[in-house]
This record gives sequence, structure tokens and C-alpha cells, in this order.
Amino acid sequence: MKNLLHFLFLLALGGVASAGKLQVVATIPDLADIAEQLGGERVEVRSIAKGTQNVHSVPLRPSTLVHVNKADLFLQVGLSLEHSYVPSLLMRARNRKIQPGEPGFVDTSVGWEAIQVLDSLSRSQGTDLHPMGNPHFNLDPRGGAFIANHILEGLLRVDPEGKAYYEKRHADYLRKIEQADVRWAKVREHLKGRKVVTYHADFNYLLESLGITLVATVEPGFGVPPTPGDLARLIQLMKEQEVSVILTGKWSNNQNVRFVADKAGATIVEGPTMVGGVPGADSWIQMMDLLHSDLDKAFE
Amino acid sequence: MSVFNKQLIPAAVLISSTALCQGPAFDSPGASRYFNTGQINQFTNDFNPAIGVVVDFFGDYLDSDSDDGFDLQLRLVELNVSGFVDPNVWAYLALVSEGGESPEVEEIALNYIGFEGNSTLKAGRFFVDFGKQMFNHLEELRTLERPLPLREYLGEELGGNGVQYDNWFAVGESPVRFSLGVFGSLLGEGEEDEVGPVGAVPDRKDVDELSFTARLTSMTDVGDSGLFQLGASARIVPEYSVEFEPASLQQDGLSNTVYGLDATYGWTGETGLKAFTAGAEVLLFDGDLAAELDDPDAPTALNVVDDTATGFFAFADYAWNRVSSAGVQYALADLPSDPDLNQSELDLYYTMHMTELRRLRFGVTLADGDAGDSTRVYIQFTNFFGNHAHGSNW
Repeated sequence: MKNLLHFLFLLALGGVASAGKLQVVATIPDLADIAEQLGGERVEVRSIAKGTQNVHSVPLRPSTLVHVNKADLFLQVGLSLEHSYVPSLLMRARNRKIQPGEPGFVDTSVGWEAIQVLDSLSRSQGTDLHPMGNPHFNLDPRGGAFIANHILEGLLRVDPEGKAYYEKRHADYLRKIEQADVRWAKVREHLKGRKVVTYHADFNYLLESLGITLVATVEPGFGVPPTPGDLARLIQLMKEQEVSVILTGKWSNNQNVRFVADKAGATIVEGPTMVGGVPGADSWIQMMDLLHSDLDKAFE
Repeated sequence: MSVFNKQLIPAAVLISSTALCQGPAFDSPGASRYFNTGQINQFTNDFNPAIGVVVDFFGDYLDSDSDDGFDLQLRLVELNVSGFVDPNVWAYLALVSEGGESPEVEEIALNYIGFEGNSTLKAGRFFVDFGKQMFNHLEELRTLERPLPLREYLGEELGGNGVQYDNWFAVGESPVRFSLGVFGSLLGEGEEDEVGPVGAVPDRKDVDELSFTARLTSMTDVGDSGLFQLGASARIVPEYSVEFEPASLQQDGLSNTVYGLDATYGWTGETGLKAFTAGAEVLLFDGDLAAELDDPDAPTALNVVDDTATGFFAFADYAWNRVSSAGVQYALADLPSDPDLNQSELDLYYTMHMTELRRLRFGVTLADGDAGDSTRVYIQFTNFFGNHAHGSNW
């Protein structure tokens, strides 16, 4: 009985403590990780997507609606990455504090110079189109600091009392990224000028930072599955260009990728496209470490 | 300046100013005026709503007791328009032409979301909030046709002119939603289209003669990758009549109610591409279910079936990658015309999403029972041009 009372007391205490924290909901685990790094004990953070999922079409869970309804801060990547579910989720969750334009809404892409901005809008280019440019800048080594700056602004807007706390943790976090970038710079030197194929256009920022040439994607158009003819042409191209690595995420490491790798004699590198995408990628910095080291090994 | 220019420039100014005066920007005294900031009449297409078209084709082979052979059909074309009217109202329109016939307004509704809290008010013409299938349009169903008991008790599609209040709240981490709808008429499509006696509601009604819908549902997480939803629905028609004009027969004071209980389980794999869904819905149709002529050749009276009919359907669907899924659905229902008789349907299907906007489906439907046996093999090809959104709910 004494143990039961003790347990209930701790449970109640936990509930009170949790209730006192700033409730943060992020669309992807990368944003959730960085929000936790900055928010520390003042925040309770949840991610809608899992790191292993296709970030373009995230299956929503019943609890997501409740979490978003009670959120103080909502974080999205932006550049229409989450357009398949965020607008309707925010409409249904009925939380005025986190609607676009309100203090509790953070679009981390604001001010980011996107690549692959579409010159014209036509479905002839594919079905999974992002008119404002490639939204996968969470995989750019510069992305972590950029996102952290936006999250800091959001935290200060909704919880100004924690200003000193957040700013200290933000500065500490940027220092960690700078230290990590020293490691990544060594990899950049080694990988410059290499060639890869990816399944989807999700690693473009990373490849650009590494000086790696993206020869082609397995998808012939954004979001369009390849036909046998597309695969045959890709295999031929990879042989001609001597491409030895296919970089793919867990969700896109499929039968077509394995077929092409087999026929072209290439190695598949299954990299994380989000935090938690593969074992060991438990934070944004760890994820970037893994991507750099896996690519480095693939080209040894 | 040449003569040409001297004459042309004033003429051009005159023509353009005349055009401006006749354009939408000009309000002459006494003309109808818009609010005040020119949002309606000053912009061209900058703020137009999203527009999309759905085209649904199918080809099938039917082997039944009464008919057999091949057919190819343009099943429907749906024009879909949706967008925010202002910050508090989201609206949508679904204009549908079935089988190449003249288009009809299937849905047009305004959703008011400006209340504090989680309430929504929907007004217009829209599909009823009953179970998990009735708010879907035909092309959105898992199978070619709506499940048998829904067709028999509610109609292939069931929309009405009305108002619906919707609210959700959280119990722990599970959302619970309820809705209440009031409609001018909710007689099923099938009842209105029959060759024999047809159902009708009075043009002007007392409050207790209006038709109603109600739904209560909740979803909850199951483990890390699953969810479970339970729901209960009702559609109430408290007053209607049945008429057979050729013989001037009419029966007033009829009523019926359909109750439904649905359960759905969903599981999504680690990458979100593999998914399993299974569900079932049980229906109970009670009251004045149907009316038949006492003698089809020389009718003198309408025989009303005052009884209770029950039915159910259950399905399981598995998607093993982003493109492919397959499923099975079984349905069994007492027939409203005679609840001692029943009919069953078994559907097997394979669906391939060639892209997000193109879908191909192969299916077979095996019907068996007192209404007749049949086998139907079909290919369904559905294309989405542009945006597709309307008032679906959970």
C-alpha cells in the first residue's frame, strides 16, 4: 500500500511537472531533437514522423491530434515538405496558438536558399513536387544551425521567461555543430568529385556540400516509380559514368534499388533521411556523422 | 504626330476607359455593392480556390441470373473545388456527372471553424456522417460499389441539404468526436429512383419531421504502430410517405431508422509504406423499410414492410509497398423488401497506384442469395487531375 501511494504521488508529480513544460510538436524527429537540445528541461517535445518513414506521407496517429491541440509551439520544415498533412492537421486540431502566422508556429525554412526551385509548375515533371524548391535541407550540414536559429526564435516568442536558458543552450549547440563540422570537413576532402545515384532527391543538399555529383535518381520524376525501361537506362548510365554507390533512405531502399545495384555492380548505402532513420542516428549531429562516415566507407 | 496617331490615341483611351467602366471594378449608383476592400471584384485569379477533376472508368464482365456480358463505362466525372472563403470558413464543391449524364451538385458545403474550442458547423448539401464509408464518394471506395448493407439501407450515396454540428474532445490521448446533423430529407437515392412506389417527404415540415444523423466515434493508439477506432452512427427519418402515382396510391406517416456500429484497426509498418487495415460495420434497419404494390398489374393498395433488417460487412486490406495493395470484403444483409430473405457479396481486389494521381484496380465481386447470384469481374481506372478535397471526416 505504501509503495502504491508512493507510485501515485510520483505519477501525480510527473503529471504536474509535464503540465508545466512547454508543449512542442515537430513534424520530423530532426526538429524535435534540435528543439530538445535548445529547450532542455523547459520543454516536452514530440515528433509526428518516425525517422524511418517517408517524410512526404506520414501516417498520423490519434494521439497526434490531441498533442497538436495542446501544443504551445509547432515546428515544421517548410518548403511544402509537409503539405500532405500539416494544413488539414492544423485545421482539425483547432489550436489557434500554433496556426501559421501566430507566435507558436515555426516554419524553419524561412530564409533558406533552396535548390531545385521549379521554374514552371507542371505535373509532367513528377507528382511529388515542391514548387518552392527541394525541402530536404535537414540533410545539409548547414541545416542544423539554420533550424536551431528558427527554433530559438520560436521558443523566445512563446516563452520569453526562458530567454537566458534557451540562448545559452543554443550557443552550446552551435558550438557542438562547429566541432562536428571539423570532422565532416575531412570527409568532404575525400569525397569531392565522386558520383552517386539516389532513389529520391532527398540527399541533394548533403551531396552538394560534399562535392559529390548526383548522376541520376532511380525515380524518373519526383514521386514517380520507375518503369523497366527507366531502370534499364539508369543501369546503362551508371555503367557509362562508373557510378559505384546508390544512396537511399530506409523507406526508399526497395526492390528497384536492389535490382539496379545488382545489375550495375553498385553498393547500396542506406542512410538516414531523418533522425532515427537507422540505428545510431539518435540525434541530428549523430545522423550527419553517420551519413558522412557511411559515404566515406563506401568510397574507400 | 501623324493623323493616324492623333486619331488612334484618343480612340484607344476612350475604348479602354469605356471598358473599365463596364468592368467589374466599376460600381454605378444603385448597383449592388460588395463589402468594401475589393477582394471579390478587383483580383482576377490570384485567390481562386483549388480546382480538380476526377475521372473514373471501368470495364467489367457480368454473369448473373438475369444478364451477362461485357461493358465499358465512363462511370463518373467529378469537378472538385475547394478553398478557404475567409479565415473562418472552408468550403468545397463536388459536381458529379455519372455515366455521361448531366452533372449534379453532389456536395457543396461551408465549414465554419471560427468557434472557440473544437466545434465545427457545416451547412449546405453534403454526404451524411455515418460510419466510415458513407462520406466517401464512389471513386474513393476500396471496392467498385459501396458495401451491400449500406446500399440496401442507406443508398448508394446519401446526401442531403442540412446543417451539421461537429465537436471533438480528448480523453487522455484519444480524440473522441461526435456530430449531429439536421436535414430536410434523407431518403436514400435508391428509394427515390425505384420504378415502383417512391418515398417522399413533405415540402414543409414540423421540427420533428426533419431527418437527423448522429455519430460518436473515438480513436486510440495501439502500440507504436497501430490504431483502433470505434464508432456508432444513426440516420433517422421520422416522417415520410410512399407514393405510386400511376394508381394514385399513397401511404403517409411512415418512419425508419438505420443504426450502425463500426470498428477499424490499422497498422503501419516501420517505413510507413506497408499497412494493414481491417474493419467491420454492423447495421440495423428498423421501421417502415419498404413498400410494395399488392398487385403489380392492377395495384389497389401499398403494402408497407414494417420490420427490422440487419446486415454487416467486414474487410481486410494489406498494402505491401507504396504502389500495391490487395484486400477482401464480405457483406451480408437482410433485404428491406423482405427481411426473411438475404443476400451476400464477396469482393476480392488488387489496387495499383501507378502514381499518386493514377490508380488501377482489378476486382471480382461474387453475389449470392435470394436476390440472385452473379459474378462480376472488373477493371477500374481512376485519374485525378489536380486537387481533390472535400469534407471527409474520421
